[in-house]
Parts: sequence; C-alpha cells; structure tokens
Amino acid sequence: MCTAIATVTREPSAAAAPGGVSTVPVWSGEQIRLQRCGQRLLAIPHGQPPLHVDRAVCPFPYTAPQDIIVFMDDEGTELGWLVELDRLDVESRQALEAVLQQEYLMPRIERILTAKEEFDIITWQVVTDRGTRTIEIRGRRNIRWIGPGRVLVKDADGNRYEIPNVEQLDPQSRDIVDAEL
Amino acid sequence: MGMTSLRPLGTPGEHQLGRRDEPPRSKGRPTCVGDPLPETLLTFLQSHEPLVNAASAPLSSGPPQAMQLTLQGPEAGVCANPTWYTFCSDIDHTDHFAPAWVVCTPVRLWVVEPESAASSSDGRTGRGLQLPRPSRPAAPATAYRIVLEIPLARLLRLQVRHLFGNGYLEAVTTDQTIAVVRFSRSRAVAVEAWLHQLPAEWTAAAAKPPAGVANPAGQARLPAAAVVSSGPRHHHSRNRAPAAPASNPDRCPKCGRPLPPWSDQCPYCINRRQVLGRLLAYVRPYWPQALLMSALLLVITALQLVPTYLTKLLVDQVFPQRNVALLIKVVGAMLAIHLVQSALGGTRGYLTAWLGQRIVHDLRVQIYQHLQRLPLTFYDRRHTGAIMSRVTGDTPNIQNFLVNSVPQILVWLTTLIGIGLILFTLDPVLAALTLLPAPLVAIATRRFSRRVRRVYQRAWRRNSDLNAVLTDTIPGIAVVKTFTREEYEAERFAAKSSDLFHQYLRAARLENVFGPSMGFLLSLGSIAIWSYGGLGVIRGGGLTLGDLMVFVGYMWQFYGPVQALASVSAMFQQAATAAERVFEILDTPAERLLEEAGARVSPQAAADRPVPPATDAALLPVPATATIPSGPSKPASATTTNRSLPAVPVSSGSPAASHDGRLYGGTVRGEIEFRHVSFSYEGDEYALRDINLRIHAGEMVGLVGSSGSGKTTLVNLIPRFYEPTAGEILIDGVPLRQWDLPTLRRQIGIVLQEPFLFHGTIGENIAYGNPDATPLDVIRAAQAANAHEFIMDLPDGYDSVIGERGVGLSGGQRQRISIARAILKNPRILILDEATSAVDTETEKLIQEALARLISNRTTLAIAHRLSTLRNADRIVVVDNGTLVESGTPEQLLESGGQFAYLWHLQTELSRA
Repeated sequence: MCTAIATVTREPSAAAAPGGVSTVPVWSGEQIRLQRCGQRLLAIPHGQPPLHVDRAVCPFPYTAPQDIIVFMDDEGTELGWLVELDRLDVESRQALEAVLQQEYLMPRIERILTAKEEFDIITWQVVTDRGTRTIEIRGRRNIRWIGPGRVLVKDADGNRYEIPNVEQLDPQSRDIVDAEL
Repeated sequence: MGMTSLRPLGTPGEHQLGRRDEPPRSKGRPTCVGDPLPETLLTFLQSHEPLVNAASAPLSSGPPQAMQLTLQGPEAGVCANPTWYTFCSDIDHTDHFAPAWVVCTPVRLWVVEPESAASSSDGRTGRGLQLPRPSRPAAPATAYRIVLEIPLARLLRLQVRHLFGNGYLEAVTTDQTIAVVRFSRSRAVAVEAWLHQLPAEWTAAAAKPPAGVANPAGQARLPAAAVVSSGPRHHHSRNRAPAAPASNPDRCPKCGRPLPPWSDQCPYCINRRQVLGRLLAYVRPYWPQALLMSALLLVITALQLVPTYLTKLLVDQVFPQRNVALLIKVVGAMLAIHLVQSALGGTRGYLTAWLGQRIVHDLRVQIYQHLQRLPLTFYDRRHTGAIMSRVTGDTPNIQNFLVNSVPQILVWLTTLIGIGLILFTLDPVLAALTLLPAPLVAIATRRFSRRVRRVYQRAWRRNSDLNAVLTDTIPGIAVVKTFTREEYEAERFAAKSSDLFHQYLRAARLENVFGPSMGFLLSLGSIAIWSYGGLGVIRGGGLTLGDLMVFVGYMWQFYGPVQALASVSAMFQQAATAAERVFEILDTPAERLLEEAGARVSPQAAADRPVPPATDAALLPVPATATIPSGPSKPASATTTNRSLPAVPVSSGSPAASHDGRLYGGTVRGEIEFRHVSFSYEGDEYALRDINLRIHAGEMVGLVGSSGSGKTTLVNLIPRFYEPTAGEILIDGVPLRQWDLPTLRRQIGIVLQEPFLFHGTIGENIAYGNPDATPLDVIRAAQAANAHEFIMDLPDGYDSVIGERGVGLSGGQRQRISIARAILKNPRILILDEATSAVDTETEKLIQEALARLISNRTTLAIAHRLSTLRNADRIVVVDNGTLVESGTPEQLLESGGQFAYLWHLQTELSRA
C-alpha cells in the first residue's frame, strides 16, 4: 500500500498557490482513515486520493494535544488539519497514537534522586518511566508549569520531561521541584 | 510488506560473548570512526566479521549460521584493518534510556545493545545512562545482542529524522524504510556528525560491489546521497546547505557541560590564572599608584596589630607598676597609631577609588569602542541585554576584584601570617590551641556560604518574578483595564510577593542559625584560651595576663580573615567569569579587521578590480553571468565576448584608491550588481541562493515576496551588514570588499519599517548622519520629508526632546523624521524596508510624497508588502525562498500572471472586501 501510491503526495486542492499562500483542508475524524506506513502515516480522506504524511504535529502539545493535529509532508508543508479525533475509527486512532508517541517522546519523571545547582545549571538525577537519567537544566526558566500540578522540564539539549503531578511525587522530589518553581 | 520483516537477529544466547566456541574471524582490529566501541563489544562484533555474501543475505533475518561465510576473491585479503563507523545512541529499541550501538562495517550495518538492557523486563530501573560526554562514556557491558542487521548492499540511504522530543536514524533499503535507532536530542548533534564522517568519496563512488564482494578498501560504503538529514532543523530540504551539522550552542564545545543561562562562557573551562593575569595587565599603566596602595594597605594592616600588643604592656607593666610615664607613652603611641591609621586609611581609600574608576573607565571605553566596530553577526547571536550587562555589570565586577578583592586577600594573608608569628613567639602551645578551630571554621563557613547563596538565589528569583509582573502590567495597564483584569493582576502580584516574603524568611532563618553557631564555635576557642592560659597565668609558668589578653584579642582578629579566605574561591570564580565575558567581546574581530582579513585572504579579488574608464560610460545591460576582466592592466577592449562592467567614475567626486587598494571618499554612481550571491546565517540553511541581479544607477527596484523569502537579507548585504557566503556584490563594478567600509556606508541610506530614533532632540536626530548640517539644512530635509509641519506644532519645535526610541511621536511621525534623516545624509543608494507599512492611509500618502522626493535620482531598493506603493518602480523583482523568480516592470509582471500578478490581485480583492 505504501509504495503503491508513492507518487501521490497531496490532493490537488491543497496545492500551494503562488506566493506561498495555501488552502489547507480540515478533516473531522470521521472523514478520514489513517494507516501506519513504516514510521509515517498514510492519510486517506474519504473520496480523495491518499496522502503520505511525513509528520503529525500537535499545535498545542501540552495544553490541548487531542484537539487538533496538523499533517505535514516531507518539506514541512501542511497537508491538512485533523479535528474531532474522537471520531476516528479504532485502527486510525491507534495508528495516529503510535506516530504521535514516536514524535513526542517525553519521559515522565517519577522520582528525583539527587539535585545539584552550580552557575544556574540545575543537575537532577531522575527516575523516569524510561529508565534513570541525569539531566542538566539551564536555569529554572526551563522548569515550568503547563497545567495544574503538571510540570514540564526542558534540559540543555532540548529533551522534554514531564512531571504529571507534582503532588504525587515523594516529599524529597517535591521539595526539589518546589525550590525551582 | 511494511515493517513485518524487521525482527531481531538470532537469539540472545547465540550471540553472547563467551558462549561462542569459534575464534574471531576478522583478520585484524578494525579502525573505529565515531564513538569508541567498548572492548567487549569490539570483541563480540569481531567474532561475527567478516561475514556473509551481503547481497544474498536476507534483510534483518536469518540464523547466525547463515553469516558464517567468509569473503571470497581478492577482497578477502585486503580487509585486514577495516574501518568501522560507530555511533552510540542513548535510547534502545524498547524506547528506554540505554545504550544502543550502530556499527557500520564494510558489509553491513548493525544495531547492537547490551544484553542486560535488551533482556530486562521493563527497563525502568538499573539501566541508567549518564549523559554522553567525551569524558563520561557509558559503562561497558559484558554481553551484547544484535537487534538489527542490514546488509550494506541493500542499503540505499541513511537519513536522520529530528522529531519533537527525539529523533531517529532511518535506513532506506531496496524494499523498505527501517528505523535503525532512536536517539534523544542529547545525541542529535553527534548523530549528524557521525553521518557526515562517512567518507564522501565512497558515497560518490556509488557503484555497488558485486554480490558477495565487500568494498576492496575494506571500508563501509554507502551509495551516493546516502546521508540525508530532515526534520525541524532542516525544514526545507531543498534549502539545506551541505554544511557540517551545527553544535549545540547551549553546551560548552570543550567540555560538553551546559552553559549557564546568563553566559556563553563555560565557568568550568575558564583558565582562571590566564584570565586573571590578563586582567592584571589593566593595572600596569597605573603601577606606581597600585604599588603605593598596596604598601599603604600593608602598613595599615601592620598598624592594626599593634594596639592589641600594646594592651600587653598596659596589663603586664603599666598597671602592676602604676607607671604613669609608661602609660602616657603607650596611650600616646595608641593615639599616634590611630591617627596615622586614619590618615593612611583615607589616602588609601581615595587611591583605591581612583584606581578602580580609572581601570573600569579604560575597560568600559575599550569595550564600547569595540562594540561599535563589531559586525552585526555578533549582535545576531546575542541578546541586547546580555551585551549591555557586560558593559554595565561585568566591568564593575572586575573593578571590585582588582581594587578591592586582590588587595584585601593580601591583607588577609598578611594578617594571618603576622598574627600566627606573634602568637607562636609568645606561647606555641597556646597558639596551637588558638588556631585549632581554624579548619573547622573554614569548612563551616564554606559550606554555609554555599547554602546561603542558594537560598538568596531563590529569593532573587522570586524578586525577579515580582519585577516581571510589574514590568508586564504597568506599561500595559491600558490593556489590563480594557480586559478588566485588574483583580487577576492584583492577585498575581500578591502571590508573587508572598513567595518572596517566605523566601527571605528562609534566608533570615538560615543566617540567624549560622551566625550564632559560628559565634559559639569561636567562643569555644576563647574559652579554651582562658582555661589553658588562665591556668598558666595562675601557676606562673611564664605566661602573663597581658599575654593572655593578647591571645584573646588576636584570636578574634585571626578568624575574620579565616572566614573570608574560605570563600575566596567563589570570588576568583566570579571575577574570572566576568573577565572572560568581557574578553570575549574584545577578542571578537572588528569589522575593519574582518575587512583586512578578507583582503588578505583574497588577493585575487583585489587583482580583479577593473580599470576605471576615462569617461562615465553609459550603462548598457549585460548578461547576469558577465565576467570581469581578469587583470588590472588588461584594457577593457581586451574582453571580446563579455562586456567590461562600468567601473568607478573618475569625476571629481569619485572615490580615490589608496595605497591598500581600497576606495576612499567621494560619491558613487549607484550601480549595484549581485553575482551568484548565496548567503546563509548559520551555515545550515541558505537564506539566499545564487542571486544574479543588476540594478542600474538611479533605478528604482521594488522587492516583492512573502515573509521570510529573503528580501531583507538581500538588501542587508549591500551595506555589508553581512558577508555573502558565496558570490560577490559590486558597486559601480567594484567588489564590496574593495570599498573602504565607512565610504561605502556613507553612500547608503536606509529607512526601516520601525524607525529607530535616539534619545535627543528632533534636530539632532535628523542631523544624525550629517553632523555638519546647518539648521536650515535640517529644516529643508524635514520639509522634504513632510515632517516640518508637525515639528513646528510642538512647543519646542526642532529642539523637542524625544524619548528613548522616539516615544511620544506617532509611527508616521517617527518615520518621517527618519526619512528626513536619510534625506540629509544624501545617499546615492537608498534602501526602503517596509517604510510605509506601519502607518495609516493618510500618513502613508505624506510618507509616499516624502519618499518620492527622496528617491529622485537615487538607486533605490524598496521592499513592500503593499504592492500599490511600488507602482512607480522601474522594475519589480520577486523573491521566493531565497531565489529570484520574476523580474520586470509592474505591467509586464501583471501580464505574465506569475507570483506578482497573484499577489496583486489578492491585495486588490482584499482592499475591495
């Protein structure tokens, strides 16, 4: 299936107009079917030719990850927007979730074992749901609230970690996080 | 099809080191390029290499036995020392943090993981990975397993995909696309570097080896264009420059540690001795004063020790003997000492201030002068606030260190040595007892100061949070009121204030625990002195009451410097960091130096300068690919196939060549030519690609294109704010590098969308580019810019002071002042960058009139989104994605139905709507 439509990249109506102005289709979950195609997605809007989706991107990855998804081709051009994700069929939803999981690998911090700070560089040794890790954070501005009890940590390399609920951390970890927030 | 055929090779047990009975088959030790392989892994992999007929091996499948074929033919013998390309990722195939090795051998690509990682149940604990750093490699495992294998003969392409929170290396094979290994962003730079290490000649010599034959060189071979990078960092692959991957700017390139958020200098890598040595050089011009200051300091310190010693005379001799004469002498001596001390102290204080201010003045002026000469690229990479803090924040830090800390350290050391000598001379045992708590005090102080610093840092952060609320809301109070958010803002401020209150309480608590604790510790010392010394005095063992008093007095004088010296390291660190930040600015080559360097690097460029013709020849169009005569002595007529470009005019106002081959002074005609110009800001993406454009003197050219298409970059190259990455730009036929920079820039006027006005009067701002202008010149310029009328409406007229960046004037008024400024400069080349986009229609009309006057007889490049403003342009050039896509008169372009016509109709429809 993937190779069969390799030459089809976008629907004709989504072609970029001169000057970079483009019209982007918006699909509801019930208007489209999604399939995994290797590491990518194949989007099949009803009654239209399939599209190779290179990346599926959440415009609001923290605050509204389930509200809207933007499909992009391999040049970063938007192919279309997907809304009403809850109307996707089960297979499509699973395919989408797998691709999003791949795109947004964000380990969850479960415990902070040690904390050190020197020259405004905060070093935490953490236990995450993907193993232990030593993370180095450039200043506390990279530790911020992204929702009630939810904290986002960005390390010096741009890796993101999530603390889903600060209140559920052990007292020592909570104290360490609290000191920086 | 799909990914179903991708499965692990063999079983873990079959591949484990030590369980394999056969000896290693490879002829020699491979040379590893990339991340060094652990010895155990190397041995493990060597036992599987050389391997099978690569082309016939099924992709990622087949039992290990199938790979036990040896190489055949002449290639087998030359693989004695193959090159392996190795990369260590930090995420394994189960998406957990654990090492995963990619090894590219002459015949295959492997992904290998430590056995312990792959066989772990869920990998949640016990598989910790230290951040990859050259100095901190992951701990080697003892057993491995191959989780993926791709015969190189089946591999078409390796590419990197950068995703939001991670990335992966992807292999495109003859029949499918496979995710080879995932990596966190910590390894993103490394994987790019690894890909670029794969030799280009191999990828160019793309002919695949015959089936079953390895590369004769015994090295990994990938097909042409085998290395591709994609994802957010290379958003537009067609625009990607073939440059080496950028390093992480947030990490120190030397040690790999993150840089502090407030600095681009690594505090760990600073050679403190070298930096401080360089810093002390600033004292050298004032060495007599510095010497005098140090001498005074030492004398004052010595004098401070004397009164304590005099108490011994009072206690041991004056009071027991009731010796009034001696009392008068001692008291007189004390008086004299205090008098001299005060006088010397005052002198020393003034001298310190003088020296400090002198040094900081020198440094500040030097930095500022240097900042003026730095290229714009320097400012692009840094925040304005960060640069300003180096001038205003770092220089006082350096001053403090040089004139206060260094002498103070000398005083502390002298005091310690002096008191130690006196005490040990008086009574060695009691002296030892007195000094016994010193290490304890030093350690406690050091620890406390670190802790208290952390607490205060938190308090400062809370303070800055509070200030941030203020700076947000006070200037935007109208917005707050409009949206009726007063209550919300008040609550937000109260919460921040409460945070700050609690943090300061915490700091106060800590300080008030430490202070009394240290007091108690020191009092233990004095109690020991009184106990031991008191017994000595009572028993009459030679120790007098005066000695005891001296001991107690000196003890308190001794522990001050001990505590201070305990935190001297932080003092040095702070000064070294500040100095390094300042020196970084001073060590950045200035534009003039860059210019000279450019001239040195490219002597051919100077030789290519065309001979000025005898007369100012009429300009005739030439092809964009026209070449310049190759030598200065070559007559213009010598070029047979290509016209010689019009060169520098020799009229009285024309620039003159100096001894260094540059052109100084005079006025240019204003012809501009871009020849195959490409430009990249950071070396990874081209903002402009192969621009060929010739603009005749006096021509008005409109630049059109979408945001980010490269229009502003294009015009910024003309005044040499940036240097082209490739190609060259010529003014009147002379490459830009050959123009003296001030001469060049004097010919160019720029009017920006957001005009920048300086704090000062309106008159001063208009005359900014021409300080010799008379008041009449200024008024005429303002009249031409349609600014005179509103200026005259102001009570102070041209002497009205406008605030920072022209606050108090409307956007249109500021724009008209900036046009007046450009008119008074009288440039031959004019650049208008969205000059009318930020104003209303009525104001636009006024500005358009002003611009029409300004443009007359000047070469003009006008960037505009509002295409109607370009209807009078001689030519329109459309820029898209860094390239020129259309060129012609507005009428021609409208007829041709291209991008310009599309945008024109779009705007027309919008204005109708």
